[in-house]
Amino acid sequence: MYEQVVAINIGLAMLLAMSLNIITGFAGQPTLGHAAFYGIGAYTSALLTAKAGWPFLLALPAAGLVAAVVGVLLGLFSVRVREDFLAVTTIGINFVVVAIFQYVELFGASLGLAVPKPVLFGLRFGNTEILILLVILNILVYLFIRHLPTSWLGLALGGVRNEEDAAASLGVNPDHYKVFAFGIGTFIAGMTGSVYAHFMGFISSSDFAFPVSVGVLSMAVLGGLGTVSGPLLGAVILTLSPEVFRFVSDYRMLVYGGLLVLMMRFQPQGLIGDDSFLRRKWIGLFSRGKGGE
Amino acid sequence: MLEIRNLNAHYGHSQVLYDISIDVKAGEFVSIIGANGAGKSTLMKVIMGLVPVSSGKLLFKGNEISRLEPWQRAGMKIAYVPEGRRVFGELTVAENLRIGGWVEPPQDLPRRVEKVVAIFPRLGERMNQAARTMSGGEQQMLAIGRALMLEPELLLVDEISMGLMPILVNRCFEVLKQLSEAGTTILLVEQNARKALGVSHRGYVLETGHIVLEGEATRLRDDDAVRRAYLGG
Repeated sequence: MYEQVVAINIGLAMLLAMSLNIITGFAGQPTLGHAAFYGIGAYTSALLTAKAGWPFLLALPAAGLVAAVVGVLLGLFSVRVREDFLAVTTIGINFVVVAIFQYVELFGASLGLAVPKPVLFGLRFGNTEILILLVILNILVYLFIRHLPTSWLGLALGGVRNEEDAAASLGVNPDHYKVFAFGIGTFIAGMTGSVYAHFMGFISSSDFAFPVSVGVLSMAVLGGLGTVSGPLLGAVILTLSPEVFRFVSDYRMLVYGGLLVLMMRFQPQGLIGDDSFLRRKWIGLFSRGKGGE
Repeated sequence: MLEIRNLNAHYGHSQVLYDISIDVKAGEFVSIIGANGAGKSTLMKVIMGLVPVSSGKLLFKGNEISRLEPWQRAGMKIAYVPEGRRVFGELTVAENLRIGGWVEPPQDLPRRVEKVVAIFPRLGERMNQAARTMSGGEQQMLAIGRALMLEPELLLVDEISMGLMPILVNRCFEVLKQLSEAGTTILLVEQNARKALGVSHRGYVLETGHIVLEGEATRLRDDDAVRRAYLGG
């Protein structure tokens, strides 16, 4: 069913945008290669189920873990370099990972990999089951992120993002929390990759190429980096718009690129960030309603 | 409490501090005065661990700390009020203070916050306001309050008067004096030599990375060279 497929794509995009938001929004670490971790998760899950015979229920967290291991390594590297360096490095990682998928025999090389449909307690997953799984994962990740700003982790990340040296001088080890954010963000991206692989039934390296990373970043930026629900809004808008407007799907990269430039110039806080035009409108409506009483 | 011996430090490839030796005894209030670019802020960052020591000794309560990370030094109760305040702008006053008490047991935070609010009642009124929406003076109070959450044994203060209205400058110096009288050891670097020497016990004069003069604050205030260079004749 067409609506189900669109809903699944939205569910995948929301998970990716939320996971990127943990790293780039909350920890303030620019990542332009998020699709690499999505891909690592997808390939891990595909290999574990198709070649090693693992059940999907185990392959799903394993995909997250493998992506997180690479993510933590990237995090350890990120604390040694400046932010602009990190942005470029993450682009490089995306290309390297895609190249490995494309040329290494184990990963199906240019032929890609067929992925079996998940079976859970004898139930073979169709799109409905995939959708239910995505709803559950989205709720779990959303609850985590909603709790984040008021948690100790969120507080440390806020300090590090705002004034790293000041935070360090007050006893917060910035490296510790940055690496942690990388670990969690890439774990979620890896699990999302697993769901994607089993939903599609077939994956190839181009599914996780650089443009996918740009798309995910665009979603988070559009909704509002560092906000709790902004990336969800961005994911919905950018996943639906190619379905609704033909030109968006024809000129996808142009739309993403233009959007990034415009948002950075006019609404760097995103659609629902502090003092964004949407929020001002909303507050305006509210106070006018009050004034009319 | 703090002993700096023949310390050299670089910022990138250029040397900023040359052969610095400074002593701060327990309970003392010491000021380092000097012009812009003399290396005052770098010295503070070196003590806090934000800029590495190239050579020389840095002892806190007799322990060499020059290889320790900033957060480990915070754990030894060295607190730092950075130049330009550097409050966490997106976070609320309450959250700024919570990070200030990061290395302390969480159950002790309410008592510490109360103490800070007793010193700066203004912060109590603004607990849930984002720090960046506050005035420069309020942000300076927050930067000091945040450092006091540690209940520091040594308080490092970098340019308390910068960019503040005179009335607020006076208030900030008053607070430092009270903290000193209550037993906190303070090391202040400051361009406003008159005010700094007015509240501290001893002083050092830093010029282009060298300590050129040291002595009792009252003696420095009367020194002809200091008067001409830093006190406006």
